[in-house]
Amino acid sequence: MTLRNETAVTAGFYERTGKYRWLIAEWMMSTDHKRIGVMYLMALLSFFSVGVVLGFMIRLSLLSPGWLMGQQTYNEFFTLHGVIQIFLFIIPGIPVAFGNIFLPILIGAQDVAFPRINRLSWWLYVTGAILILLSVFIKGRPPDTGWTFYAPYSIQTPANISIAVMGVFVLGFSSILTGLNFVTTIHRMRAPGMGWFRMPAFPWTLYATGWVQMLATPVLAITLLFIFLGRFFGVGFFDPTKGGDPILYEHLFWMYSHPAVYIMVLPAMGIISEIIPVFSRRALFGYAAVCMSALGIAVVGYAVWGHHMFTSGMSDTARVIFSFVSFLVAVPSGVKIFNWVSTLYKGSIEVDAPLLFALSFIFLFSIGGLTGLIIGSLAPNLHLHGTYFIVGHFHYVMFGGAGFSIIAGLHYWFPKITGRMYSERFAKIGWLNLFVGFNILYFSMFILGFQGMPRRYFDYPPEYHTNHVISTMGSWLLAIGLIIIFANLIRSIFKGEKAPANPWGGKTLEWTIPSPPANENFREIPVITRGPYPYEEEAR
Amino acid sequence: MKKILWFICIWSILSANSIYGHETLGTSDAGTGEMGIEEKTGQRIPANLVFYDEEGNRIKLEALLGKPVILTLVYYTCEHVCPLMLGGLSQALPRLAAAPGKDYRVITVSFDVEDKPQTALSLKKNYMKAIGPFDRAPDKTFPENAWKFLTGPKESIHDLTEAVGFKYRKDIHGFSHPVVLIFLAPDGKISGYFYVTKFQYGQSYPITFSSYDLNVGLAGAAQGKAVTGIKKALLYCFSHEPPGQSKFFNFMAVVGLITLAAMVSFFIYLQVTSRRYRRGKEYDAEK
Repeated sequence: MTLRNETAVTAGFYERTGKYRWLIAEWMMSTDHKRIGVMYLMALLSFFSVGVVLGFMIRLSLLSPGWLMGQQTYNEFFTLHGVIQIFLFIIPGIPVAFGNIFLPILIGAQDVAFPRINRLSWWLYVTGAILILLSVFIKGRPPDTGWTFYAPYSIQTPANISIAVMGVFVLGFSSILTGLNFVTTIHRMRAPGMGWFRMPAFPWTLYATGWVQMLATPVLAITLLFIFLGRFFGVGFFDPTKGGDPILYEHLFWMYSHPAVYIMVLPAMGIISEIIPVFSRRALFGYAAVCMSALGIAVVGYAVWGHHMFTSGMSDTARVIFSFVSFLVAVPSGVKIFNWVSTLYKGSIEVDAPLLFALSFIFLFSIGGLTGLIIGSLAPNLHLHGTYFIVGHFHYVMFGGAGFSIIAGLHYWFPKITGRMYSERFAKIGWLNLFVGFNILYFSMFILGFQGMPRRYFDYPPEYHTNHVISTMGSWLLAIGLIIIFANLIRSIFKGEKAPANPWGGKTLEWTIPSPPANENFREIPVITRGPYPYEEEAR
Repeated sequence: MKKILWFICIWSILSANSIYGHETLGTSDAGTGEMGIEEKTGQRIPANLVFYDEEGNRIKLEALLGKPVILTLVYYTCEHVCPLMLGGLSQALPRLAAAPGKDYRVITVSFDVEDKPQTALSLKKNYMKAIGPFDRAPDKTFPENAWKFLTGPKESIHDLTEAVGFKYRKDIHGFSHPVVLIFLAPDGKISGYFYVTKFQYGQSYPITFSSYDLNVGLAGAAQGKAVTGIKKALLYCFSHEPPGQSKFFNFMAVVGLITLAAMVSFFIYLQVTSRRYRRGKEYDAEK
């Protein structure tokens, strides 16, 4: 038996509804999860390119400090690079773009639980983004504190911190609402028959992420509010001369920002868990363990924030505990890595672009994670804290992890989102450039950091020059890779072949509906009678 | 009603600051009785006290007197104000009118019994380096014996700090103590106290001494004068733990627990009501 959907609409979701005269109004007022997701995706990728250009300029400047920009400009560049990439691209990243487009489809629903709240969180995102951009363009100096807005400098600097902080504050609300929406959607909207353990891995990770967003983001909001009160009313929560404590800021900030790492990386792991079974034609090995480890990471991830501040002044007991708990996070992460590799084992692997990006994720994220263990242990941390080693580490995790999985998801779901196929050849060429460039760019940072090059410095002694040059050359290759990848995708939107409903042979629900999907996703609400990856069962 | 609530919220946030604000400043008028300076100007310090010099040799205090002395009391493992004060002193000494070692001497004594002569030696090397080339000496270096770094047995430390009225306290991390220079006349008489009052945030030497002040102090000490009455707000060296902080932490804990409880109730609500709201639940168990 199936439940009938009374208002099944067959038109693709790109077609005009005719409710508004202007296209932009029609999209901005839309409550369709796919439209909101597509708008998010375009905004995210635009900010990503701005962030990449800023990062590219930073690397270019480090080639020979002083030739491209002055010291103050350099500080502003790395601050904006961080703020844009973290708050506008990678934290909202996967949930708002791929989550919005695919979460309801993957669980067999017509939309999210609260479509209007979904639209509200998109508007809040736009507002936050505009505020952050305003901080660059209005009178005064762009923010120069680094993306962490560390007090007391963020309270004292004459730069436009207040408006940027306000922007991040608003973005936080967008994030909380998305989390709330997704959690409710997953509880309430699963198709008939889709029990918890028939749900694909990507919704599982979005579920874990949703809780982290709801629980952690208010801490950031409060912290930023304190900065705000400090700047406008002189309230000294973080100012020692007024009885406050700057280390308190660090605690509050990382209490949010470490769980935020999992807001970025958990859904990335979800995408990888979707791609690998499809391209190796095998059920996700240890499916339940992969899903549960997402929850495990989300829970343990709350108790490790102190490892960002081992050198800031903390009792030895606290440091030992934080260090130990940080090591614990490696366990669920390791569970995922081993399960992905086991899924590939004896599979009929097809090395298409999405799999290449997914495999790169496993490789790069492993390096990022293992170097994380090095700096998570106390003794090496004292040497490596605040050096390029940290910069290398988090770029491996953020870009090599979350960034690569976004590009992987982009290729994997591109036919479904746009209804077109991209050129496989150019995707692979782009991947090769990106992957090689990435490793040259960021691996040399590990060496620089080990030699003692401090992060955020405008200038450096001559002995670091060689590695800086190598790193910058890597950034050129990486940029070429990104240009090829995105040129290929943009070209394919207009000139690509029409995509079939299921180009990869996927078994999850999004591949059972046309590309691009119709307005309310399913003509009939599906009834689920099996797990998400029934490759072996069907082959039997 | 809403407006009143808002007013109360904002007022309480703003007033929290003023209540705890200024008690916690590093400068306050006097010590709390336990920690501070009780001026003993004009009295003599016991010159027969025995300390250890940087090489670990026993040395009597009287052997180092005989000329005006700038006495500083610090502990050598300090990571707060002590190194900054000594650093400021190292920048002022080469600019003084008097000849170091001949016209005056600086004695730094650790009041921490745990400090060892080795630490004193490494500190001495450090500050000698900080002084840099000293143009007035023939060999361009600041004379070694013009700045002594002493450590001592418990009794000597006790007697000396008592004699100069220097009151310090052991804390969880190091000590709390006043930051002060003490001028001694050649015969060991306390000629005056020079309080460090200003901390210049963001400077490479946040504590500086004007050569004028030190010249005047040394000249007074050389003549055996007892200068009193320059009572100023002085700096203390201590680990910063504002008294309002634990209250703030309690507040955070309560808010955190409320948030957590809200999340848990939300989860329970979703679970309990899912039967009512979710369609087709009966298919879940079907194979």
